Parts: sequence; structure tokens; C-alpha cells
Amino acid sequence: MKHVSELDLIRLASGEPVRRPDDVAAHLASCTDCAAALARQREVHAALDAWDVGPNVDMWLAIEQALDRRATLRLPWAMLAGLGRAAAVLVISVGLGFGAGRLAGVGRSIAPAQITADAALDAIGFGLIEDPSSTGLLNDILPAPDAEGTQ
Amino acid sequence: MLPLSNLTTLVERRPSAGPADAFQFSFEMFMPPDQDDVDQQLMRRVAQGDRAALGDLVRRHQERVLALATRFLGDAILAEDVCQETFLRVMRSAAAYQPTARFTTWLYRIVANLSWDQRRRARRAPRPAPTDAMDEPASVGLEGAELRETVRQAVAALPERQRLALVLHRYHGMSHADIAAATGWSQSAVESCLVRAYATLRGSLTSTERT
Repeated sequence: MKHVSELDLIRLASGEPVRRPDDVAAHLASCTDCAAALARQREVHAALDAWDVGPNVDMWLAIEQALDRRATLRLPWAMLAGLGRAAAVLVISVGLGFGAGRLAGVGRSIAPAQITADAALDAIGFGLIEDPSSTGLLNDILPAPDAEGTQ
Repeated sequence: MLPLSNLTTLVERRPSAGPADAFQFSFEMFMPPDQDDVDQQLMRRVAQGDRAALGDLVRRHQERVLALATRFLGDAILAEDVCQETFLRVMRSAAAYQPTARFTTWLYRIVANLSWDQRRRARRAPRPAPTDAMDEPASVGLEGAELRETVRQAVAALPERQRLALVLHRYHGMSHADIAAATGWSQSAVESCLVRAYATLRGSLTSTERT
């Protein structure tokens, strides 16, 4: 059998069960190294046990006072939280209404009758010309009148 | 000793029970209430807002919680803060608490997490310079206050994970599986921490070296 593992030494010194306890016991009886290692482990455990922490403090009074403090703080916070929620609903409602109004304005279609000739010329760039007749443009786009002045 | 017919009746009440279960089932009838059962009952009352039940839980476990926090943090004042916060969290979490494990495992998990957070905060603050007290191995002849101080310093010098595993194992008698459940580590990680922690302490707390 191999030497006793560190983990088994810890288990033995702690009084915890080990796998194959008979084999381990037989090995410890014949192996001075492992027996010495177990003795050292038990020494560590005994030293650790000497460290007691105290004196004991009764924490309940302090915990009860902390509970009372938190219960007092919770009340104004609940009111503030309610006000905050109401304000948030108001802001969201106004924002949604504003956004809905904007969207309705962008999609509005213009009736054909409202489209004027000037607006149409503006749209294709002829709006820049104040008076097309002054540039002779009309002569280009309209047929010249005949001698009697008719077209 | 129960007559065999009684044992048969007990087994029949649990259709899937085998012979081993019959022994356990009958054995439990004559045992005093399990400590965990008492804790679970108190938790149910805490969930209903029973502050007196929380007081009972505090008195049942405050010593262990304080001891764990004190040994891990090395500071009694911080340990009291952790202890107080632990039971406040118990109160806050009572409504959602599910008894899937022992109450103490769940309680120690809270303590471990809070202690860990406390250590993280302390790490950002400047620490006093380490002393040379651990340069020489302790002699066997140390007693009383001197030994306690030596042990305290030796444990405080351990890395935090090893320290927490060691404290839970040695001072709270927790199994490797329970330590894993309380810390969220794997069982092999717990065992690795324990092996290293005890190996370090063998060097600082014993008088002879391994040959």
C-alpha cells in the first residue's frame, strides 16, 4: 500500500471516516513516516483547538435595533418611490403624445388642388427664375405667335 | 425494540423504501427533534414576519456565526458587523427560502459571502506591516495566550480560500461536501485548499519537520 494521503491524514486526525480503514490502520502500524505524519497532524489540530474566540456577544439587541431603523427608513422611501413612479408615467405619456403628434404631421399628404404652378416650378428648380419671360425661356418652350397674334 | 410486524407496517407507508430505509424510518421515530428541523420551523415563522422566531435563530447560531467571521476576518468588530448583516439577510430572504439543504449550510453561505466582501473592502485599505512572528516554527511548549496568538497569526497568514476552508472544517465540523455547498466551490477545490492549509500550518505550528 502507498503511504497515507494528506487528505486521509486530515480525516484521521479529525475523526472522519477514511476509505479502506483496515488497510490504512495496518499501514500506519508498519510505517513510521506515516505514523509520525499523523502525529504532527494531530498536533496541528490540538493547537488549532486552543484558539477560542470570545467573549460571546448577544447580537439580538443590535439586530433588533437595525430592523427598527430599516422599517422607519422604508416608509419615506415608499412614498418617494410612489411619487417617482407617477412622475415617470407622466413623462412617458407626454413623450408618447408628442411623438405621436410628430409622426402624424410627417405623413400628411397634400391635396393635388393645393399644388400651385409656382410650387411645382419651385420643386424642379425653375423657382429661381423670377420672371421667365425676361430670360426668353418662354420663347423656347412656347411656340412663337403667328402674324395675327394667335398660336 | 419494535416487533417485526411494526417495521413491516412502517416500510409499507413508503412504497419505495428498502430494508435500510425501514431501519432509518423507525430509528427517527425515537430521536429527539433534529436541530435542523427546529431551524426550519423557525424559518417558516420568520417568513411570516415573526420577529421572535428570528430572535430564536439569532440566539441559536450567533456564537457560530461570530466565531466563523472572527476567525476568517481576524477582527472582532468587523465580525460583529458581518454577524448582524447575516441575520438581517436571513430575515429579508425568509419568504423565498427553500429548505433544499441544512439551514446551517445556507446560513454559513451567507456568512462566507459577507465575510468575503468585507475582506475585499479591507484589501483596498492599507494594512499594517506583517510581523516576523512566523519566521520560526512554534515550539511545543507554547501555552495559553501565547499559543492562541501564534495560532491566530498562523491562520491569518493563510490565503483567504484556504483560511475559509480550514475554519469551516476545523472549527465548525463541516464535511468537505458541506463546505463546498456553503462556499460554492467544487469538493476537489475544497480538499485542495484543506491539504495546503494544513500543510502550511504543520510548518508553522509544529516543532518537527517531515522527513
